[in-house]
Amino acid sequence: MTFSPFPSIKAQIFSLAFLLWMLFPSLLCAINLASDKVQLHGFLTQGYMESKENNFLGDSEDGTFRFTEIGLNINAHLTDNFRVGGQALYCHLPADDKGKVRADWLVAEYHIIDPFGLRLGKIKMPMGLYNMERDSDFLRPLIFLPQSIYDETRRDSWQAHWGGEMYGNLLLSKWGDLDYQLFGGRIQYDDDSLATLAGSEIVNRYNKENSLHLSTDDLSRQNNYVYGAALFFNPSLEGLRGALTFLALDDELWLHETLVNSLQVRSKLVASVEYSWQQLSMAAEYSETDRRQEQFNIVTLDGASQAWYLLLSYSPTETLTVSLLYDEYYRLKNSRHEPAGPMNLYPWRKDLGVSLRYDISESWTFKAEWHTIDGTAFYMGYFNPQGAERYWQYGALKLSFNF
Amino acid sequence: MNLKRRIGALVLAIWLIAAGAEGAEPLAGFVMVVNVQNEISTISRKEVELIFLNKKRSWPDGTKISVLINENLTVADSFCQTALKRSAHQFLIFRKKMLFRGQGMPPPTLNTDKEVIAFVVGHSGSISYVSPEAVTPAVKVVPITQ
Repeated sequence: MTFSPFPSIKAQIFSLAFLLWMLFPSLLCAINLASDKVQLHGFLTQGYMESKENNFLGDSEDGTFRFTEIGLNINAHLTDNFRVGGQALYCHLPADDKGKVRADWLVAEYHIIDPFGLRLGKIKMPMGLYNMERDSDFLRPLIFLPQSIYDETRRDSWQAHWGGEMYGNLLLSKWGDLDYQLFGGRIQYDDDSLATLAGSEIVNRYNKENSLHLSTDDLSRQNNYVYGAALFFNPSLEGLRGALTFLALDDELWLHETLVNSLQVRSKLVASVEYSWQQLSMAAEYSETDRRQEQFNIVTLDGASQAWYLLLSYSPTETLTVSLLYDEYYRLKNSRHEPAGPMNLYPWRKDLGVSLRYDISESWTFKAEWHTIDGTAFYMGYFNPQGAERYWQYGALKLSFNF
Repeated sequence: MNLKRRIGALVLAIWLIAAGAEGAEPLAGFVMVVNVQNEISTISRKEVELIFLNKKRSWPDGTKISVLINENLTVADSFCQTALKRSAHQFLIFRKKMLFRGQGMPPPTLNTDKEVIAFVVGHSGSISYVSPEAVTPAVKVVPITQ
């Protein structure tokens, strides 16, 4: 892997164009799309990330500015109940050689009655409290969400699916109300998605063990199905929210005609609770992912992982929030400290993080955070081919603009 | 009673007290206004919350609800705290989440009571909030019930 710490020319041009647009809001007024029929919105975020002892998500030990996200969306109500919309997203993350533009979501929504509506297209997948807002930094409490559940290496994999979704809101008398989503479809993986590229580690290991020279250039990942459900409970107690989400999927990684890796997630369950009281807030989530993985037709993983975190936040003013995170993940719930092969001797992740979020205005947000980690779960062998250290750290700064 | 049960009972008691105490809170600093053709005479706080959180989208007669956000700060803060049980900033974040997740379009916004009243007069399914002294006979005031 070769990395440059700076954004590509394409990213810089895209950013400059966006910046000019931001600095001349009269242009926005001239477009005047903020109506109840058609609306145009967008965001730009630029970050800096640096790590110590290990690389994380790319060549991060020397620091990197390859941390850019730009989104532009348009929505239109064609009738009272029918809406179409889409968001284009330019993303350049530390793991990417170059930035890429993709359809983040592309939705046709028919709202039949309040308890029941339908969405078709490329739809964001609900998973836990925060998965649907992972591409929009200014919507999240942290730059890096708790990795035990929101594993950044799978961000472009488990973000959205092509298919359908039923959704609605159910009233529960004086107890509150319940939002639900039921979805099914397929995930479309790019050939340069991180989950695909990291498959080269499997092929390289197989080559070494069998004295072969299989190329890793033509790896392709496909999803056979994904389906799931989400319940978000909004009780009458002010500030409290609970959620229960479930998903299952089946993935395959191919090298020409050879099945390199198959992953069946039988269930990924996340139970969540969030509570705000005056200037304090708390979020906690617990998750188990029961999955079976085969590499070159040999079962390499069969069982449930375990993940949980606790995030405590204090907001001395409405626009300033400091947070403390403790986050834990084990690759196998029933065998927490068993090495996962020679490249992953410490297949767990314990993260103690501190963060600051400052909403400078309605449109501008600044964030800073630092994490201290014990463990090397989540593709750390891919980012550190010489071997990953058990104890390591990383931090990030990020500035976001949205309109 | 063991510790787990005591904690469970305490949490349940706090929840029930908080749910029951809702009716005692004053509703002041703003009034809800709808188009004069709208047949409703009162509206519950929960209905207001569902409407402004995009979860209830039609009136009892089937007319589409047109929500309008009044950004007049003195009214907006009072409305959000009282009717939505969240701050104006939290309501703004909610609207952004809905938008950038691809789950809906946020309602249009206007900056003054005068502009809001003009909008409500011109849109049959509309609902918004203004300061009590800004009300004119051209719009219908609907009191909030608990």
